[in-house]
Formats: sequence, structure tokens, C-alpha cells
Amino acid sequence: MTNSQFRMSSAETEQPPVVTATGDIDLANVNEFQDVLNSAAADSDAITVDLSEVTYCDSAAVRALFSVAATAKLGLIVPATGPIMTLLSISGLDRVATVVTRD
Amino acid sequence: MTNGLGADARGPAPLRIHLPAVPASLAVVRDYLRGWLPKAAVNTTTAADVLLAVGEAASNAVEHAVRGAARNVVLEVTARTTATGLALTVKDNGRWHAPAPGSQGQRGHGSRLMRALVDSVTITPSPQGTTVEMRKELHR
Repeated sequence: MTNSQFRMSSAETEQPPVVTATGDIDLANVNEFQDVLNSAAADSDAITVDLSEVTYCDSAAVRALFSVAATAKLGLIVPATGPIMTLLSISGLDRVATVVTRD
Repeated sequence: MTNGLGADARGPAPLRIHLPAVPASLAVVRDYLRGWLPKAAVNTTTAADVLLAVGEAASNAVEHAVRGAARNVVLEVTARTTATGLALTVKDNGRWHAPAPGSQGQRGHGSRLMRALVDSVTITPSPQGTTVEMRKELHR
């Protein structure tokens, strides 16, 4: 098991930690994603999750993000294109997180 | 159903994948679809929508159909071109389980998501398993 697909930056002063995800997220690796989210949120009341390099994610990833949003203020960086905004709005995640798009 | 002779000239051969209903199979399904969708002259936006709709249905099958099943559950994914677009199916032979109390919202999200991404979604649960049929019009 490698966590290179999900990285947590060391928090800079006054900045929330950033979890950067890449590649595909599905049922097979969502637990790793959840673990990294949980450790980022353990010491902070806010986290940013950068999904701009994510090539696929579905409801499994949304559930992981909802669970971390229950304990920390969640910021999301998402690709400007692709169905991820549809995923966020149908699930309602865009109503509990601050969403920024990136080209 | 057949598209007649014109379909062969226009579209790729139908895709039919059988594989175990386990999490590792989801990436295999995406690999096949990522290869097949461009051959069906699908643009990248539409391909990403279809990939998510099928991926969500397959993920549901893996998550829910396997639960408590007495036998190995098999997932079958098909994709073919039609006269006006794409027809996709995601089928499992797991036993149907009524949604547990509290899980209804999550399942509702899954089927609403599919309906937002493709033009029609029909979900048919039966004692033999669940079949999800989807249509995507291509307007070409």
C-alpha cells in the first residue's frame, strides 16, 4: 500500500493543511484517501483538498469528504472540466465545502 | 435489437466485460471503457460523464450486491452504439437487498447522479440480481 497517490503537505503557519490527491479514486483505494483526510483533520479545524489532478472519483470519494467535513472546515480545489462539479452538486457536498475550480 | 448494417461501419464492436464484483474490478472496467469510448466517437466531456455513470453503477453493485451473498458475485458491463447514441448496462447476479434504513439518501444520490450524467437510467432489481440500463444520446 502506498500513499503517494494521496499526499498531505505540512501545514504552513496560519494555513490549513492541504491533501493533494491524484489519479483515480474508487472503492479500491478510498480507505487510503480517508486515512490521509483523517490525519490532516486531526490537528486542524480546517483542511484543503486538492482534487485538480484527480482523473476519476465517484460517490465513494464524496462519502470520505463528507465525513471529514463533519469535523473540519473543508475547502476543495477541483478541475474546471469534467463531471466532478455534477458529482459535488448532486451529492450536496458543494453546500458544506468551499469549492474553487482550477484549469 | 440491432442497428443494421450501418452500425458496423459507424461504431466499434459492442463491449462486454465479465469480472468478479470486487473493488479491484472497477479500475479494469474503466480501462476498457476509456479504450472503447473514443472508438465510439465520443468526445472527452461525454466520455467522462459516461465513465462516471457506469463507474457509479458498478461501484453500487460491488458494494451492495456482494453483501451477504452466498456465492461469488459477477459483474457484467456492456456498452454498444445505437442509432442515436450509446446503450450501457451494468448487471450483477448478487441478491437484491432492500436499502437499510438510513442508506436511502446515499443510494438516492447514486441514481440521481447517473440520471444527471446520461439521458435515461432504468434500474431493475430482481431475486437474480440487479440490472442498470443507461442510454446516452450523442446528438451527432
